[in-house]
Amino acid sequence: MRQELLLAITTLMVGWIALAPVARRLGALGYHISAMPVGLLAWVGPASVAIAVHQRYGVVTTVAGLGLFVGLVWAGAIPAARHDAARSARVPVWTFPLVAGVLLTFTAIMTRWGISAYSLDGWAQYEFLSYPLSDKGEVALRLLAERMILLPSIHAGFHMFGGEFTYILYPILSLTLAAVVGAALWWAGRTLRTGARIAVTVTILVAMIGHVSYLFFSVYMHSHTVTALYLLLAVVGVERATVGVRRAADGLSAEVSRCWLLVSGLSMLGLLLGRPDGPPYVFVPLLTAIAFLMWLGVSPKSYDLLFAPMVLGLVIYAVATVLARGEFWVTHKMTAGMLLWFAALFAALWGFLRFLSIHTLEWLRTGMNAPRFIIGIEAAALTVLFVAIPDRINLMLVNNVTNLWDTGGWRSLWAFLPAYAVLALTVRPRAGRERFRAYVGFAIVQFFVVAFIVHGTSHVGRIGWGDSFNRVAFHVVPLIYLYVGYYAVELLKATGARRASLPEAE
Amino acid sequence: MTRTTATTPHDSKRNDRITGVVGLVLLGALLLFQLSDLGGAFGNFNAWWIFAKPVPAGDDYAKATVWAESPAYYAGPVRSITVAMAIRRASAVRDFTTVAPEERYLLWADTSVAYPKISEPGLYDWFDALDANSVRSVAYDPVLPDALIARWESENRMWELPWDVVIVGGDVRENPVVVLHTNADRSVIYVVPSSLSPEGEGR
Repeated sequence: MRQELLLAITTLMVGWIALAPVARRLGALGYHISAMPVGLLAWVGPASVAIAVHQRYGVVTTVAGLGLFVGLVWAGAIPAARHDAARSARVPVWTFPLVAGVLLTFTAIMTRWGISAYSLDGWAQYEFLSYPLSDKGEVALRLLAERMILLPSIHAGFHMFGGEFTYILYPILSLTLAAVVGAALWWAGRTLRTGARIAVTVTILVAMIGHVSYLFFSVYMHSHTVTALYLLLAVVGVERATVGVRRAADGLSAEVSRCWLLVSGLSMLGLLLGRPDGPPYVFVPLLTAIAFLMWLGVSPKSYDLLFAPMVLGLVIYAVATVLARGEFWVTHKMTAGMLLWFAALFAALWGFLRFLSIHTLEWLRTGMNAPRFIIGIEAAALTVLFVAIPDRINLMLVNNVTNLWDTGGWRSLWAFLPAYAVLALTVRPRAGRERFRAYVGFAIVQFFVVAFIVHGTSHVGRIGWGDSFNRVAFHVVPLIYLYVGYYAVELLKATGARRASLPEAE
Repeated sequence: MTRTTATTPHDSKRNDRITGVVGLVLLGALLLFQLSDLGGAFGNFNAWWIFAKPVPAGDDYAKATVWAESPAYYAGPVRSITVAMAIRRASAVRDFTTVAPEERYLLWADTSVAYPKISEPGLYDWFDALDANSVRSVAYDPVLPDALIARWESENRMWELPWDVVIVGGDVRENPVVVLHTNADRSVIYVVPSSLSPEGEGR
């Protein structure tokens, strides 16, 4: 049990340390729920150092790697904390042992239980490929091709502590994911009476956790829970960054919380490094963030912390792996060139938002024009794709829809999606609407657009639960529950479950 | 005919309240119906949970291979992983060396004799990949005398792992060099500390 507890507590502590400069700005709840995802991402540090110097995960490489990661986060966090100085809420000391206690107790229970679920990808790749990484600092081409670095780097950390089979990571990811959903709903219900607030948070959490798909992905050794976690936190981070921010009339002066944008940016990096299809899927939270921030009219500097982790992280990863392998590596799923190409694309987008006057895009930042414009372009693009490769698209649609509705193990979950959507779009009170709910809906639509493109062009799928998209579909499930939760909060507000005065910042 | 839709603030608030209640009832019904699906777990579990089944492998990579996907098809890799884990467990130190026969096939028997259910009992490059440092290939006969195996058995030195892999030495784990051996019918692979091996540390 020692190694399981060590992995959990070390990860949490590294997350705490990395986010220490912004702790007061994130608030106690935000700080603690962000610590674990950031701590997990920190394991990419030792992996990068081990790969670069071709040494095993030892004390020196691990401390150096984690220190490097923390240093890079601090480089963004310290100025962000200075910027957000007005938003300050002390993190009570007692919350640290409480959070650590919950995590360690959960880890101990899951360790005692010792269950996991895995298929070939898990036992023969994530686990297997992380051994050469922890033992020799070797990055196998198969790892680069099929798995990317994030999960193997955490598995390698577990081996360093003496562990053999990193099953414990996945329940911990599941707990963190549920915590982020719970926190997001708790924040959303801040204008509700306490009873209503608890009811909506608990109901949505129970519905999500109680579903067979969530239970499965809580123990399944693969990249799905971690990707769902980072996708969710990237979107929630944008919402938190903009709480209480008024829309700027001039389109450039709204000041949002840069500390939360840093959390969102780091989550996008996690999304990028979690799977080979991370780069296209990162557009889901990225476009959502850009559309919402444009509408608010944020100052151009606000985009820095959203983009910097992605651009820097991709470049470091690409360079480290090229140096280690001594070649500009190419595989069928990913290449070093593609990583740099995506880094350049994100840098270009960053430069565009940073240095081109947003005044010229006034039409885009009016109402929901930006999301509508994006969806309009995507609709045209998808039509072209359908016309260009109709057979592949048809096959992909048949396989994926059959899996989601019937053979993929989801029971009736996806049949409920249209019902939730119709309900949320038709039965809407006029007062108390939360604009960000529409952007969460936009993110869900973006997910399916990216999936359509990725799977239509590269992987038409097969019938059965193990099909790639059938598993990838889980990534958006927490966002769907978040959307339903936001909707429930709106309904409760309309019924008069509001509290008389707002609580202090949380 | 002109129609008017003008409402007072009071009407608007009342309408919102009714809309809210209707929405909550419908949403609650959907969530409740969805939650009722949990009941499937107590009926036909296999129909409810069609994914990979959860297994109690714990922190044991060798044990995990027992429930691996298509173990007969992946017999080579799963056995290689098990041998590699046996070597790691036999050598608590991280800088260990493994001595293996130059002709690796000497460690396993003809398929039809030892492994009638699987096609490839041999060790794959997976084994080398999982070895932290080096595999030293040495020319030796890896077959152990029956008497020696029987003696180790009587001394309770055998620690059995899946896939007919055995660690010799019990809890003595300070071995920087381990040697791979097999039995007379080459059905079991023994991971033996060099101090106990007839080969010593290999030539």
